[in-house]
Amino acid sequence: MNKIEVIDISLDYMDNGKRFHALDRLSFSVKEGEFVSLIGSSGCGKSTALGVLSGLNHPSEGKVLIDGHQIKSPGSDRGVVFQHYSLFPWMTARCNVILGINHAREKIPKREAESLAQEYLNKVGLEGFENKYPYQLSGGMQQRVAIARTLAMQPEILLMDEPFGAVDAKNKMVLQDLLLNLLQRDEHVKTIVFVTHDVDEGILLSDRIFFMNNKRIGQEIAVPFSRPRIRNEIFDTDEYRALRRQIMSLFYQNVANQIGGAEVYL
Amino acid sequence: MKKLYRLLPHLLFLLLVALILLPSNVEVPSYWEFLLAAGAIEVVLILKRHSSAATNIGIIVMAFLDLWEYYTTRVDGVNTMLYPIPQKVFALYITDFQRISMGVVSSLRLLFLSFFLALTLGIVLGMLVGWFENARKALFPIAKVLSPIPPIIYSPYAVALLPSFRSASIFVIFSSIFWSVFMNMILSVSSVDKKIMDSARTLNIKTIGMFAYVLLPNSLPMLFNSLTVSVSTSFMVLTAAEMIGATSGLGWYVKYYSDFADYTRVVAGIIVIGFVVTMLNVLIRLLRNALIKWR
Repeated sequence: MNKIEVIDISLDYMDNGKRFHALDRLSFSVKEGEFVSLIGSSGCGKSTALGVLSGLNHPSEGKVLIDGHQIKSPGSDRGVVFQHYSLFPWMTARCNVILGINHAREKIPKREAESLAQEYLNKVGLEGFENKYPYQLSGGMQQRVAIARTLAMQPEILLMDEPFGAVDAKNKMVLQDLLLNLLQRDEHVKTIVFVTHDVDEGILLSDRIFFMNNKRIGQEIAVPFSRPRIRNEIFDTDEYRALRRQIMSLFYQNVANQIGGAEVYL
Repeated sequence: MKKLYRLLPHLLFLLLVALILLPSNVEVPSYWEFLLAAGAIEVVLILKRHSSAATNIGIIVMAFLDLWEYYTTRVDGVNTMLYPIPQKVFALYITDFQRISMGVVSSLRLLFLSFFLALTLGIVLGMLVGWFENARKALFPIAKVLSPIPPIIYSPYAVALLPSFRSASIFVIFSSIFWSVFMNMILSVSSVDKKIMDSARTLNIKTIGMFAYVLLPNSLPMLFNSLTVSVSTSFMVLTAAEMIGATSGLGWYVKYYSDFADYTRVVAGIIVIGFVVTMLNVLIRLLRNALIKWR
């Protein structure tokens, strides 16, 4: 059975009296334990789609089923990592994580929540930074805290909206490897939906890639590499290059269609 | 040159000491209170000697004290009833200690009570009104109309209307603080960063947690900024209210002795008011630094 079932969701919004489609009869499904990426150029609706999955956005039509039940609001079965600003600036790294734990699991003893928070902060490599406020941490470190907070809530589904979009290239690689590592070891998170516009990131992390185009899924691409994955081994293969070329051509096609064909040289 | 400039406030202090100690035109019963006060300022200046702002402030304050001392004790024909001699003013803090300290206590008691009421109600109501869109749309325009009316204007009316002077002045001070707290709360609650709200909602934080963990801390910096302004205006309102119907308090002290043309006491009272407001502001700053550690 599919863990997540997205069925024909459309989302319209009004701006200055005009009606806009943010999603147009989008459908896809994700199996339990699967890592799926939504890739597409900006404005294709990938973040909006993730917003619907998290329960923050409400579709105008269609529905999202998780384990066969329709979702209507955010829930502790789903953990969300945003691109930025998801930490509360008035709480230390530790308190941010504890807050997440306390709201995911009711009546967890204080001591237990604290040690759980420490465990996950250690996992993301932030030992010694527990009592820092977000403003005292770099962007990459803040994102580590956000990941620790979400993982510590031990959700069944992890939703990530361009989580490494705002960190520099080097830290991005470090964080991708960290995520790969954590997911291979963490037995709680099973199913992941990941939004990105970075093709390499999508291939490295996912089992399947949905290329989004015109507010819906344009193409579905399977990523054949086995796990555990190691960056350099994958990036050197012909399969990887072919896969990359395939996805890039989808982007180019998309751009060409939008600007109007022959003018675009790539 | 720069060195001389840095020394200037201290030289002015020495000049003041000389002016106080050397014989002058007038007889003063006691001079050490003024000397002590000037010495206290000098100690602060020495402690803050590396700050250029403190040096500048020190020059202005010391120069003023020098001028005041010189004008009232060395210039012939000065009306020392209108221009009280500083030694006499500061001597009052010993001889009139009981009345002045009672004034301070009674003013502060009114102030703290009104502050407590205004802050609690302003924060709680402001959060609720800011959170519920319908309430906000109805009440914010009303608050906008009512809030600019200066409470001093209706303080005589409040004194006449309410059963006691105490309740009237609490009401007046309350209204001078409440509106700014209330409106600031509404604004900050309705303008929380959307990303923070989204993050809170995905953490499953429900309404009560939202108030405690998100909305209140988010509004604290703004609240403290408005509080610093509020303290000054509320003190203004308080002393104005005391001038109308009180029988104790700092405003009453100044007003009462103005009626007797006892300007030595009037000046002493004014200085205390300045001092108390400054201390309140220091208190608020300490509180802010203790509560807001995240920036």
